[in-house]
Amino acid sequence: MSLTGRRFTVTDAIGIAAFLAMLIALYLAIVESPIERVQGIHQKIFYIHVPTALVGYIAFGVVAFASIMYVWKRTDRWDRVAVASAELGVLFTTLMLATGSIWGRPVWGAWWDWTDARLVTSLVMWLVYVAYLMFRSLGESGPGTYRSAAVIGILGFVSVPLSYFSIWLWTNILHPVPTLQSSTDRPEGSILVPFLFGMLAFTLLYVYLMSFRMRVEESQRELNELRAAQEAS
Amino acid sequence: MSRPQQASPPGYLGQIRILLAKELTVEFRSRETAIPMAVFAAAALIAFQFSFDLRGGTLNLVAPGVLWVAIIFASLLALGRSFSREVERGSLDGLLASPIDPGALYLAKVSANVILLVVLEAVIIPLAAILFNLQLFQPTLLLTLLLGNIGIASVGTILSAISARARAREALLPIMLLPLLVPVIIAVVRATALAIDNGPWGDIQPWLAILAAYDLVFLFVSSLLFYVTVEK
Repeated sequence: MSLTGRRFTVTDAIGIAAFLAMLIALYLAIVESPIERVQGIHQKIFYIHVPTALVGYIAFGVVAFASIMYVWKRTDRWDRVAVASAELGVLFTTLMLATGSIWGRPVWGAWWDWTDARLVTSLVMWLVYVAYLMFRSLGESGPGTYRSAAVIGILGFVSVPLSYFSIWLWTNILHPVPTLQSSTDRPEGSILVPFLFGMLAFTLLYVYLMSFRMRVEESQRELNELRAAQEAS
Repeated sequence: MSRPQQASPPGYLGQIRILLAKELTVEFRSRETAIPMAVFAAAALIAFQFSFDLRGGTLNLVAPGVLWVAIIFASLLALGRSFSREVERGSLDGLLASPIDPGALYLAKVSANVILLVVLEAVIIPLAAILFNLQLFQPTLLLTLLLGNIGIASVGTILSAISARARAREALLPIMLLPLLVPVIIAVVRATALAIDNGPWGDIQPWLAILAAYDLVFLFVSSLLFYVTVEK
């Protein structure tokens, strides 16, 4: 930071906090948390799997909210929030699908199982936002594309509750109803604390990458405008 | 079309009626959508026959999926043309310049696409019933088809408008449409399977309820948001 003469910003602080929280979360998950009786050491991947899934849902929620705000306010900033959050949502959802698959292989003997509702609906959600990003990358940069993208961002959100609530809807073998909600057996602190640290670490990482990605998008658009102005003159 | 002079501009429903009449006139004169759709779906059914060997025990298991995949793929022909045709001819700007509610334009396009799907199904359902010896003439199946058509058309029409001006629109439309249609596909295939097997109404009804809810949500949200996609 001092090397480039740049001032220390809030974003930098969040980045450092995310890094530290990630280290603590990893330590707690690998060293401190107990080894699960049935699944053994494989269960530990859940300290990454569940936070990435939840942060992915949040990211797509942000896409929908920012899309609504863009339709309403028509300010460039909301569109930048939407595109940045969609990319990060796809990133976290990819991590979620990958870690789930890695867990699945040793524990139930297959990388993939089409009978599990949440697995399938999560893939659908991932595809919806990949399509969203593809639309953005194929459209020319400008309000026309931003408006249509906002509509996809709003309509596409239907896939998020579909994935989240799928475990209550139909066939569900692999994804238990959240322990925190099935009141009677509350998870022991030894499981809950590493999980919450994982949540904190990935949420901070999301916020950090968001501010980073939005700055990149802003610079990109400035650059496009400058190029357009240069070509016009 | 000659229409009687109207003293006051038509209301929302009147606009839908006029626009739908325009859609049907264009289709009736050009015949460029309904017939290709039906021929394509029939060809797809034959391709599926050779891919899955649709006979005997597996037939009732595979047939609902085969039927709906054929319908959805054929629907892409109608949906792809729905707005790109207007953009190519420059008639979309004319439509938008006229005092028409964009929501009415959306709903008229949805209705036209539903009608095209009904025409398509009127051809391929009897064809499938004959070719594969299926019991397809069930009242519950008719309801499933109608709700499924509305689902496909409501999602597909707004995506058609969105992709009409984009590059690579032929690829974009299915890429965006299929994931968003997954809930519809799940519900219609389950309901169709139950209808073919003469399943009890109590088993079919929840799938139709999901379908109806999905249709209503998409029709409502899309007709509100439609102006955003077409405005200049």
